[in-house]
Amino acid sequence: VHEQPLRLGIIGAGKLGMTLARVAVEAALEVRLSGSGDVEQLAYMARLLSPGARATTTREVATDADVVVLAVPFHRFRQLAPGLLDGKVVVDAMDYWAPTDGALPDLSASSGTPTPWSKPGSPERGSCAR
Amino acid sequence: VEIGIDNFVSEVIDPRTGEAVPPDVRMQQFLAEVVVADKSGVDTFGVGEHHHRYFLDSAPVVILAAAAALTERIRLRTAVTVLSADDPVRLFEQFATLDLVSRGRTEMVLGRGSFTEAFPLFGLDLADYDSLFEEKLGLILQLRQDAHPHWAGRHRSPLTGQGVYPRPVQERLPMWVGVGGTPSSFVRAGRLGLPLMVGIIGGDPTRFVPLIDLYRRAGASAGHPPESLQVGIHCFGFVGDTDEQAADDFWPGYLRTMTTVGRERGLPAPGRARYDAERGEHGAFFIGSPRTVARKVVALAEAVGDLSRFTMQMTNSIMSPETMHHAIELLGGEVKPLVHSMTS
Repeated sequence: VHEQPLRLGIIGAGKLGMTLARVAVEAALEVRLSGSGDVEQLAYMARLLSPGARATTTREVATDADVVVLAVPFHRFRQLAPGLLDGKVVVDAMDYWAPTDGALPDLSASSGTPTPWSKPGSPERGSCAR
Repeated sequence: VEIGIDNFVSEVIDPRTGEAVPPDVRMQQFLAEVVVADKSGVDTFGVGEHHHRYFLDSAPVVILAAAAALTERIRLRTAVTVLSADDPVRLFEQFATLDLVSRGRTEMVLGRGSFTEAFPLFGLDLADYDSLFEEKLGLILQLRQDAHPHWAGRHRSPLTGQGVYPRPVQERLPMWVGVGGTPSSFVRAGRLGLPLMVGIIGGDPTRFVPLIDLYRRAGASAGHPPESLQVGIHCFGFVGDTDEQAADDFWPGYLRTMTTVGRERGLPAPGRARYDAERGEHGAFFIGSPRTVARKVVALAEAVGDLSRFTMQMTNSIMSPETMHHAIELLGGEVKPLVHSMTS
């Protein structure tokens, strides 16, 4: 039986996103990756650091994946388009640490606070794992 | 391979009294470390920049100027200057002045900074993390070659040919880029043809080789010659007469730092087993006898291909000045010659 490989989308091409992309390609997943910069430049980096992963836009990563990993810095989370991941299975790899994310007024709790993804009543619809 | 130290002026507990050394005494101890390094043949000495209650190094250029007056040949640098949170014009003026004080021994290592205390302190928005660094790096590079720059950008007022003085002793003030593991930072440094300082805090340092290749390729495709694409690596390190002594000298303060500052920053609490693994052949800690440390530096230099510089972060929060001085003397007097004899 030949199953389609799982399509993994990774949003965020930093230390975590790029490393995960490499490991996922090695595990024979179909990997799409997006970052905050230019897609061409990301493709250039991916050819060296995670060969086999396809660099594309965040919109396409969200549309074309079975599972989406959120690997952007926490303080960038709100720059993603609202509703982008509606109905998706999302793996949330973000954590709030005040020392690196700055003091965010609506997250007064201490470091290590889960992101809005895993909070009940999140405006986004879908399944989330952390 | 040049051998250097990049230390922090952070709070230190005197192991004999169990008390924190007063800030003015600690500052004198730090300056003494630079003097010992200078006399021992260590090539470079850097000081970190932090804006935090456990640290005394928020004004690193002031500290380096004092060190410059006390030393003769060691090169003085930052590790790293948080460029995003400062005005490039003011920074250039300060480092050019330091270059006059030190008679041409100054280097800048510019980074985004791994911690962000400086952002709210200076009224900056973290959302501008990348654009601040990109823009300010462009400006400071321009200031290096042009005393009367014309410049306009988002984050400061335009320059219309006013003079930026003094000019440094060195025709081109060395400017390195300090990076962590963010791939796009390696590409940026390569495209600009700037020497690269890679800070590695854990794990097998050879995992960074693909990122260093990325830097070199980005540099080559932007037309920069290989000699302008120098690579340095920075890790935790400490030297003792034996592996065991070095490991035991460094451990208590390392444990303390990781369970206080490290915890605040989301780093896991360390165990001795993990610490000992990092000291091993494939770990990021260069802690051991001169021979062990030298062998590890040489192995890293071989993996990287062409390593210009290796620096270690030796600051430890529970340590006597005598233990620190001995370690510095071993680094300059034994590790450095051993590395040179093994690589020549």
